[in-house]
Amino acid sequence: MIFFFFCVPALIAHPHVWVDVSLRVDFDKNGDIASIMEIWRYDEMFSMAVIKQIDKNGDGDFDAKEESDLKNLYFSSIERFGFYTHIFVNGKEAKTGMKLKDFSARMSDGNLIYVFTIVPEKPLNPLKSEIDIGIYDSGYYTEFSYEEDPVLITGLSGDGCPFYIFEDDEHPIYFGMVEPETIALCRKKL
Amino acid sequence: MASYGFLGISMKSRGVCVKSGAGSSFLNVVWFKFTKTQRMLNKKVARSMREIKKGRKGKIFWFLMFLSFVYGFLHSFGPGHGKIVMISYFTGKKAHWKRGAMMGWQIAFIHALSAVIIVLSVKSIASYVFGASASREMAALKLISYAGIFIIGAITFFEVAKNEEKKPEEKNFHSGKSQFFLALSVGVVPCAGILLVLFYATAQGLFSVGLLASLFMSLGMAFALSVIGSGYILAERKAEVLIKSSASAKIFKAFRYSGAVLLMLIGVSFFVYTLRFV
Repeated sequence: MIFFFFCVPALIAHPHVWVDVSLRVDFDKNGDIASIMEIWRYDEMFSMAVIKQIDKNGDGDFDAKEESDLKNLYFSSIERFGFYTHIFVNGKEAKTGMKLKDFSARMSDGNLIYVFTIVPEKPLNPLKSEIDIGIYDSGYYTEFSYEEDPVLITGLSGDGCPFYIFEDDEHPIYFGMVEPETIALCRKKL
Repeated sequence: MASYGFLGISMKSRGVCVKSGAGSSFLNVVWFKFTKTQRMLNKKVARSMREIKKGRKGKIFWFLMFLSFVYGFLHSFGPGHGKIVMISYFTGKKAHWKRGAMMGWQIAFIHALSAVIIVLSVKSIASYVFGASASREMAALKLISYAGIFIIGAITFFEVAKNEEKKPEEKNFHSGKSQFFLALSVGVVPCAGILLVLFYATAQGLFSVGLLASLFMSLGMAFALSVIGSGYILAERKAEVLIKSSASAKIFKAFRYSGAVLLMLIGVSFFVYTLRFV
């Protein structure tokens, strides 16, 4: 019986919505992460469903009112999942909260695009500890993939912060079935 | 997403029910390819519809139908409770394999029809496909579905009990009625894939193209599900031959009861799980 209750989510969900993501990590002068800007590009089919629902004036894009409708209806619901942005400090999921600084949405070539910035509530310094960032939905309803060359760094001089993507087998999602792709920040692959 | 484990029981990872196997096992690779292929198909379906919208005809139309069929076929092999429900239902019943095939068709077409009706009757399907929490209507449909599975499970249990008392030659564990209502219960939750494809087409003024694509998707699903259903029945018959006949009667009796119990368990646990979204 217990087996069943635990298995339910695993048997219900599988991805129907796809997102390509890239991010910009901004550093302050102490080398702490000041903010993370994320760009999400939704697949065409889901994008079409969203714009037909939200775009009341039918101009094919979002005005201020429609953008706020979209935010309230869909974007806000992922706030409690930490915007699907998982932060790990020295291999452990950080409890640091994320505050939303700004959000905007637009349509581009049939794709719904979210651009938003989040600010960590506690300092995160990838030069002092190992910081990993993974963008994914643990419920595996939406599947995230990284765009080519997905990370842009600002605020650090020189090549102070290289990154690489790895399959995080320490933190599997979707009931252990999927090893998500996570970004190791300011480190070179060994 | 990167590497994928497959069904295997473990206490690892929050002590739950499935666990990844070895990092790069064969199944991991298959699973990885499976999800990537689905994404690619989804993209290609959208792209061919835009081409048709631009006025291209002929080959591209049939290409779209082919893609839709493959998309539906693969869709049915993804994780989902429908297959477990179907197999639980047939467990131990010694039904004819045609019954399994038929149930596959029933589930697929009801699943598709439900999606078509929703696209025709709502303004946007976004909330239906965006996670479980976004739509109360979807949650309501799911509750109906799970309640139905539970009820059919209970009915099946009594049917099995009633039949066990009969003489061997009069035993008939299979009822077409309960099979249909079980397929109805499973299928009433609309297929998210068809919701998206048909809505996408309709929004571009290609309703009939979308409807045909949905038909091919449901053919793909029906094909996959009927292979699974009849395949299971045939495999079980093979197993029956292998087991010694005296033991087999007892084992199959146990199978029949546990199949019915399993249906009730699935119904209850999914129902309780979904209640939180209402």
